[in-house]
Amino acid sequence: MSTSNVKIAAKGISKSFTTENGTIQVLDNVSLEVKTNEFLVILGPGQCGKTILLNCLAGILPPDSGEVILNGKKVTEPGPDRGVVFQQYALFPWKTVRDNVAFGLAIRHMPVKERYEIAQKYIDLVGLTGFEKSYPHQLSGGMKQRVSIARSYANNPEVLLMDEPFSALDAQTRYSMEKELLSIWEQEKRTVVFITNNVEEAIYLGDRIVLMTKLPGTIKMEFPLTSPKPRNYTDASFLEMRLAISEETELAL
Amino acid sequence: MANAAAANLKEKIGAVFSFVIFLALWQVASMAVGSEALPSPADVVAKAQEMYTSQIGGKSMWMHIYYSLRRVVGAYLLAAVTGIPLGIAMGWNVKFRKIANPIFELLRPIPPIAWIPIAILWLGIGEGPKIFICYVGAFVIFVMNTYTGMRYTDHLLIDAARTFGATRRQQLFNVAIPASLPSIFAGVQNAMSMAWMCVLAAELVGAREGVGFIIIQGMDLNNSPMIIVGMITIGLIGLFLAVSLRYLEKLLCPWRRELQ
Amino acid sequence: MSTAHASALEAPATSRVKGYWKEYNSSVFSLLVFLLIWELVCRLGFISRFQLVPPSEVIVVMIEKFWTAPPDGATLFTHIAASMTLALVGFCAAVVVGVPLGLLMGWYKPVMVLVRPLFDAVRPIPPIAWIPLAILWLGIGIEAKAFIIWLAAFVPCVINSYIGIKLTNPVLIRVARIYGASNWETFIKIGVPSAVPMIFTGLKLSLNAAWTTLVAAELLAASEGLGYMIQMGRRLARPDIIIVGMLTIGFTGALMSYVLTKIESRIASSRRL
Repeated sequence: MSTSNVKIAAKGISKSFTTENGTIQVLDNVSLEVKTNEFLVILGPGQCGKTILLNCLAGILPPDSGEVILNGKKVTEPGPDRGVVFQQYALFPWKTVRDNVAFGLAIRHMPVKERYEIAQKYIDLVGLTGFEKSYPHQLSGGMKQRVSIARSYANNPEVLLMDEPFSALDAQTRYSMEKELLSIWEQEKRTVVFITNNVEEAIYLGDRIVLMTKLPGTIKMEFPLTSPKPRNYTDASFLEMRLAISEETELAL
Repeated sequence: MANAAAANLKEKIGAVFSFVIFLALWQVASMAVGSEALPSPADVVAKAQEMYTSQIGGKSMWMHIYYSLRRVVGAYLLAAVTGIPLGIAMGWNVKFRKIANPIFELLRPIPPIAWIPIAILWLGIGEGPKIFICYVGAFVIFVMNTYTGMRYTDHLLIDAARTFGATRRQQLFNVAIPASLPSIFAGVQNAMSMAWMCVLAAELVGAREGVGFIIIQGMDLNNSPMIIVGMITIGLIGLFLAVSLRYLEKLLCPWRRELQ
Repeated sequence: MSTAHASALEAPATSRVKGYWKEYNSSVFSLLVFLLIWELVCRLGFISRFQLVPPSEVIVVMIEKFWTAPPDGATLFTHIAASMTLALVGFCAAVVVGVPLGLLMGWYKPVMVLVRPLFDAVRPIPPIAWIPLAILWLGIGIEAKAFIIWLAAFVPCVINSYIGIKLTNPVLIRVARIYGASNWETFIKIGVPSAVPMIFTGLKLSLNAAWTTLVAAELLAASEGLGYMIQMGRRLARPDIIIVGMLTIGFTGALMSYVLTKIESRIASSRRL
């Protein structure tokens, strides 16, 4: 029963890189399963290969061994069924906000009118109404990341892969972005894999937290989170969970 | 705002002031060494009036300008049409790069002006060698800038496009080429000033018309006011070409951040 | 990890050669095909030998030119020496005048306000356009050519030094001021060093401009030098001489740029320490 509910899974993924200083094992036999509409958070210290893991899930990087399974089929390359929100936004500087959001639809040759209607819906959803014709360089970091989220959502992916999307933002913006992401997700449920190095962010957002070790990255522990969202940062249960996770981590931040 | 306006005004006054000093020095120098060697500013203005209303070598000044511009613009467009696609191909396709690059690298260090003698040998003394030289000069710059732009395309943008299922072709046309446009446009400017220089060089070496012919004619006639009028004309046309291209870039790349 | 490190270092030489070969084989192949087509076009008589000669003959002529003067009046080395001397003299003179001028323009407002308009007015005129006037003023000797080359090299020196010092991090300037440095001291100790990378960019552009302009000047008025050599090749309808001259111009120019880049990286690495 539970296996049929799995949306995307990593099975025994290993990945290493060869540099001038030799070979570095980045991921060592990593396996995980994400259920449909689950919000999974991968939490790990600075250098633990979590971004590499996400790129493997996205199909951007091929793993050395192991495989990624989406809907029971093996993933070999990136595809519109998995949207990625990058840490560095990766917006197209020559496109307006609207054309950035509509990018995936344009790739699929959707007619312009229809494309812009859908784009508008998600621009409104992320709270950027009125900025449709702005260029990315005219926006703040938080706004850029909203565009990036809208761009992924507009393409209607089954899985949303988010790579430390808020780590380049200042603390205040970060809190509000977390809150908004949660409300967007409540409105439009998707399977989410969210990567972060921030314990609070992980507890605030996740249905389940997977804790990774330092290089070579492996999965150390899992923490299911059952309390209802939105959670309060100062609740006793929140602080308890935070303490429990912190004791297990080597978050040398 | 008021401060900026004041600073702007100051700069304008400074510019006028510096030109006045320059003209005064020119006048003094001309009186010192004689107007034979160095004509005074008034001499040059008089000469300009004469040149723009009479004929030189059987053609009006405007015809000479037209001839030079025709060579430059023709060669320039040809260079853009061939150079930009070549640069894109070299930047996008590894196989093609490996084949084209060595030949290109062998020929690139040779200044376009050094092609003049062989161009004359190949194409005679008509329009051919002049257009060829301008073409070589502009072509190399178009290829180099396009190629550099393609190679320095942020790979993250390509990855992002891939996650939306963009095909290789879509990655090229929807991401890599637009991302290279700023670099290509830098080439558009440089190629024009290079082409403009090349047409002069070609016309200096052998031509019966064109602005390069005007100044070499001035030298042969020992007529320095004529040379100076020619040089000022050359500068103004070069400036006009550069300004129009900059305007075109603003029109076509509205997303580009201004440098200031 | 240490074993991996060691094995990467001890990669057998043969496999490294194989790696280079794999990287460059299509390049070598493409050059060979290029030369072969050239050779065939000439040998099969598609083109008159007064317009193009096969590469094999170009190579022979190039080797001969090392010690024979005819038909263009001097050996290859004499031409190279003449051109390089002229280019380097003009270039060095431009650096000596242009770099300080650019730096002063960038640092002292009055210098900028006075010099910049003139500079902007003269800049659109390509240095080549000065050739007739220079010849009229200074004759067809070395002075006219040196002046033209100086002018060509001067402009990029000024512009890049100017931009370089304008881009000095204002925080560094404020720090120097807080520690009591005078304006002049700040200029010398903060402004100039931080402009060095841009100055070097300017020097490379300058050298390039000097070399191009030299060729133009020698085409028009010279009795030796590489520009003169290719011009003679044209008069004598000797494409082999022209091509040898062109390749030498390209190679010498590239060599000088290479030396300048080496000097730059030497200075840059010593500054980082």
